[in-house]
Amino acid sequence: MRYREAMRADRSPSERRQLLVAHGLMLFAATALVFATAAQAQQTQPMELGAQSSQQAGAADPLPGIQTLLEQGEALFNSADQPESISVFSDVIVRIDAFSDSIDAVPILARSLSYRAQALFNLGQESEAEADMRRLLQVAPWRRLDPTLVSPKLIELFDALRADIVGEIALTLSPETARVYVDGRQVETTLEPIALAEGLHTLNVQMLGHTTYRRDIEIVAGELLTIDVLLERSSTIVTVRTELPGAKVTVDGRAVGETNFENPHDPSTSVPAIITFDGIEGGTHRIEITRDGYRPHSGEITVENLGEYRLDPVKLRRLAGTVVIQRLPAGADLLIDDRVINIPASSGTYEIELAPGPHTITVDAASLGSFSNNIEVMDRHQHEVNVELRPSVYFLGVVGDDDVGRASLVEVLEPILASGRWNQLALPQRDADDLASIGLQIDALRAQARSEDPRAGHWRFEETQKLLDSQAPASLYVFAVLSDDLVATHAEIWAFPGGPGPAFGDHVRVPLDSDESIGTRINTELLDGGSSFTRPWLGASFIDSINASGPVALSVSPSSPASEAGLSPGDVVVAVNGISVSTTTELELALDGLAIDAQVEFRLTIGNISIPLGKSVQIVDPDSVGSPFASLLIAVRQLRSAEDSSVPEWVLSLNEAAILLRAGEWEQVVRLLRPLQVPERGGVGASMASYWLGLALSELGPDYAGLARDSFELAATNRDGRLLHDDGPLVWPLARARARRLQR
Amino acid sequence: MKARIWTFVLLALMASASALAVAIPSAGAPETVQTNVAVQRLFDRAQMLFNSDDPEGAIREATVLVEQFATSELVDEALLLIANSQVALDNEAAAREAAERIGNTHPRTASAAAATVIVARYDIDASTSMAALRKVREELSRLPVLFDAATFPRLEARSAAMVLSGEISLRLLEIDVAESEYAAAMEPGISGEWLARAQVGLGTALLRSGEWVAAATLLQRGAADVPIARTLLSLIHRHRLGPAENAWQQSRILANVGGRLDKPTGLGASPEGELLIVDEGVPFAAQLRADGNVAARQNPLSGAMKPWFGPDGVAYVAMRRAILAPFSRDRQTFTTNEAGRTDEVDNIVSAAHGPLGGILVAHDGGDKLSRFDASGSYVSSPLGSRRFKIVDLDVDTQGRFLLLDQRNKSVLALDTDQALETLVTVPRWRRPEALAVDALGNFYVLDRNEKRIDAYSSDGTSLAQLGPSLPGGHRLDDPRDLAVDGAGNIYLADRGGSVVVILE
Repeated sequence: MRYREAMRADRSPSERRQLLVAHGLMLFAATALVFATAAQAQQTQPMELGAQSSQQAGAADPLPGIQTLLEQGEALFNSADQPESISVFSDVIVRIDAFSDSIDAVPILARSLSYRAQALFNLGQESEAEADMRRLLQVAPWRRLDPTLVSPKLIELFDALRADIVGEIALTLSPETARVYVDGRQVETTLEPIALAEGLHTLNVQMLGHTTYRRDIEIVAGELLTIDVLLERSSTIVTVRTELPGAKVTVDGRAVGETNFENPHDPSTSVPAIITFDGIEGGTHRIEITRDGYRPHSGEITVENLGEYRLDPVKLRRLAGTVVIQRLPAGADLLIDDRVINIPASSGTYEIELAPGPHTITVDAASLGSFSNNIEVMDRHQHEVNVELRPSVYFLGVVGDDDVGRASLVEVLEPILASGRWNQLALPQRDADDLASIGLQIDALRAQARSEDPRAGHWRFEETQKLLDSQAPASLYVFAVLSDDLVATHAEIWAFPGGPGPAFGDHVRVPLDSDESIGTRINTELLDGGSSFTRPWLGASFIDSINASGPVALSVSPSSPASEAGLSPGDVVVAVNGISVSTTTELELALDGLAIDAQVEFRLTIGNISIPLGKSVQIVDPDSVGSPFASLLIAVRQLRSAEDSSVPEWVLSLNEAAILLRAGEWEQVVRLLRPLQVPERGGVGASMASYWLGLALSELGPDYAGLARDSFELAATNRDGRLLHDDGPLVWPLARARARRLQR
Repeated sequence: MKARIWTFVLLALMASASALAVAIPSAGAPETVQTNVAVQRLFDRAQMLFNSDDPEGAIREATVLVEQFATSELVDEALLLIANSQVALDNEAAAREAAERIGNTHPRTASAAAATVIVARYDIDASTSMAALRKVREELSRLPVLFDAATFPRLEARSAAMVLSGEISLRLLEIDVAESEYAAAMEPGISGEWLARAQVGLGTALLRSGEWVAAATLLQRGAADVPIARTLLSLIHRHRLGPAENAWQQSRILANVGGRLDKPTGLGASPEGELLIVDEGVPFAAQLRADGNVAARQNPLSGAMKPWFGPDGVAYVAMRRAILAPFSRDRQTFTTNEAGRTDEVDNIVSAAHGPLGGILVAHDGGDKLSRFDASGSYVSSPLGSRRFKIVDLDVDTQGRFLLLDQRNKSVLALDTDQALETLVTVPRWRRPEALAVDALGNFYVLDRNEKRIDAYSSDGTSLAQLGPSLPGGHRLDDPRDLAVDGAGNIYLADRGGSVVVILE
């Protein structure tokens, strides 16, 4: 079976994920073994608590190998090679002697002796046969030979020996259900007399709540001994029933045993396990019932001497804690200890009881990512688990035949992808043919890289995304293309998002034999999109003037930190936080990297002011080269599914619009932005949304020119509206100019 | 300055065309791998020579490629390389020929788009009328249609065409059109010089409509690549962000003026900070670059007055019967023709070029004002029968001529439709002698007798009065002319003090 079939689309994402995780994602090299093992790993039923404790595995073979040997001997005995069986039975007899104390050993020894005796007899070795039969009657005096299978001559010999060795006792019991033991072993009590070997034996008759009968008896061969046994009531009898077997019962702290299934099992009862005991004096006693994994049960019973009592049937309650799983994304799969839990389609919060002890909660939300958390559940405690999805990244591999280059790249990439906010799903094992099979052709990729077109938006991975989405869902796919098959000097590293959504690729070119820290670049340009939707806000813009010694404040936004601190247009900045600045570039450099709320000291030509930086929303620039749009898309999806109120919906949508603009998905931009409610404000707000809506509409063709113009005109009405962030470029001049172009 | 920008543009266009050609395989005739390698090497060699300032070498190699591998998919790029090399060599005819050949043989290539821009650049330079400029703009407007973004993503020639359209529109005083062209040129993914020029262009257009804050933000974004933006920003700083009384904080004597000064009487300044000086004592004319070094000098030169920079960056001076480009000695005389009467223009006191090359000349000691087209043909006498004495004139950013009328002690504005408006009338002026206007439309009048400079905003609001003692202590003696550069620095020719003073 091909792996692709094993990963067929009708499986749930979690089933496929299990397959992937369990087997290192052998996406392109399927084996039947993978499927077989994977299929076993599936669990479609909800987890039944406690079921495992009632499903004990069968006990180990107490007489290892001997039973099998016996069967081999039987087969030989019944074949043309009957003499061959003698040595086998001899082997069995020697080996079973080591287990002579076992009750299971007697029938095996008896059968072996019986067979060997017959085989020897058939070979004419009558004296050896007789010895075996003697021993047979010693260990199993009740044994008889089947006259339909055995020769009359042998029957005759056997019966003669039996008359020399075996005697019988006939018992009359009261009560009739009393149990009989001979030489410490229980014997069946039927109407038939009990056959015993000649000699001394110990007879024991017992019954709960009764006196015990004990007598030494001497058996004489060929004679019948008749004995009447009368047991008298001597103590109270108590019966305890539990739902599950194995419950330990104590009376006043004294262990009296465990419940066990009734034999025969009574299907009508829901409390089939039972224990009956005696030896309790009249009075009130405390009975405790315990079982591993269950809450103990205790009760009191008041008895009178010689009475029979039944405790009310007990259903022990499992030890369990409650686990409340919150912020469960719609459509996600929930796995507890690798077993799939059926949950409502859009639950949000899910509550489940789990046995005390360690458990692993896993949430798998396909391209949104996954979440895994280990918890220690305690009995009668409530545990809350907040799902925080981590996006999953799937490293498809390195393409290119330069093994040295490939190895050095893998060495760098692996730790990067396995760290930070990503869950890495698999290790690279793919080669060029594998990638070509999912639509990633090395020649086309190299040609694309050579074109040096920084706008990756028109390099699309739709087909590949579709294929991977059904086969190996992940948030982000990463692969690398070496520049050359012989001596690669650099590699193009690509990343594109899982579906649904635009399948455009971000890429970064990194040298292979350079000291340059390529990890930082890969993070910055491929993996760190959406790490922040805010940025520091100053609220002032600056210009350079030949007539000034430093940057000149051009405009100061109303109610901004700069305005509140008293910065005015025309103020000339000469130093920031003690660092001299003579140009706006130097000023930006001095402000770069400062955190929101950082206190910034401005030295002006007319004095000093201190400005606490505020917070601005941050929208990614669709025109910027080297921005990680794919990972930004993933971050937006995650926040949206988590309904995280820390980032307003309109900020997420504007960022998504930037991604769609970047990808040239004009229709989707229109669908996203038209109904969007964006606050009208200074800085980034409704005017920016209108402006981008206008851009997308104008790309849709002349039919939409009127709507585009309306959008631009609307955008141009807010004189304080800005692009990208609250200190970004003014919207209105661009919007007005574009509206005018459409009017012409 | 101009040549440098031109070269940069070509390089950018060529890089863009080259990148695209690799990305989009053409359906040329099948060729062997070896041939392809040879063609590529030839092309790379030509490109390398061009980049190494060896345009002749580039033409030689590219020509071999074009002639010997006529079916190669690199032919259009080779032709473009030839065209660009011819531009670098200033061979207009050959450059046009190569560019037009691309248009004919490879019309649907990025090279053809770049070639269209090359031709348009020459056509713009050659335009002497509004109609000619409009025609070029019309040609440029076709480029974004023929080379749309869906088929040709990131085509720099498309942005270049829109920037050039914007620049033409600015010259045609169609500010709205200019704004829209510049905004459209800022395509997604465009960067570098063209983006900067679009930003500065849009900023300049916004400045014309008084939106100086928005203008400044755009100018600032383009300032690193377009030097004029920096001077405009400085001007905005001086007049919009600083207190009016402190617009000029110091004065100093210009040290290096291209020779010994005796009796400086004339000054002209370009927006970029270049300066023209005329001295009637030595006598000479000199042109200084923005960095203060001497660019050109003409000595002796008698009778020169009121120098100015034409819209093409060429320096001019007024002579008694002609206007003269002192460093090339090009001389132009004029004849009026009114009511059938033809007169040689004489006793010129001042002149200036309009934005489209038309010339306004104040003559007969300022009693007459005549308008001529770029070829020197008489157009009209815009002031008609009005009595006046125009002693100086200049052109503002809106393309209006500002006239200093000594008789009526007024400054008049004459717009492109010949409508006349009085901006200020100042009775206290005793002898208003010189006029200058800056990029914000502020204008400055020098009263020779009062030794004072009056500064006004474009609507005639008084901004400042300076002199005879200037900030920094210099005292004017016999000021004769003034000029203002792009950054708003005022230059004064002080004949009595034998100095040029700069007010900063």
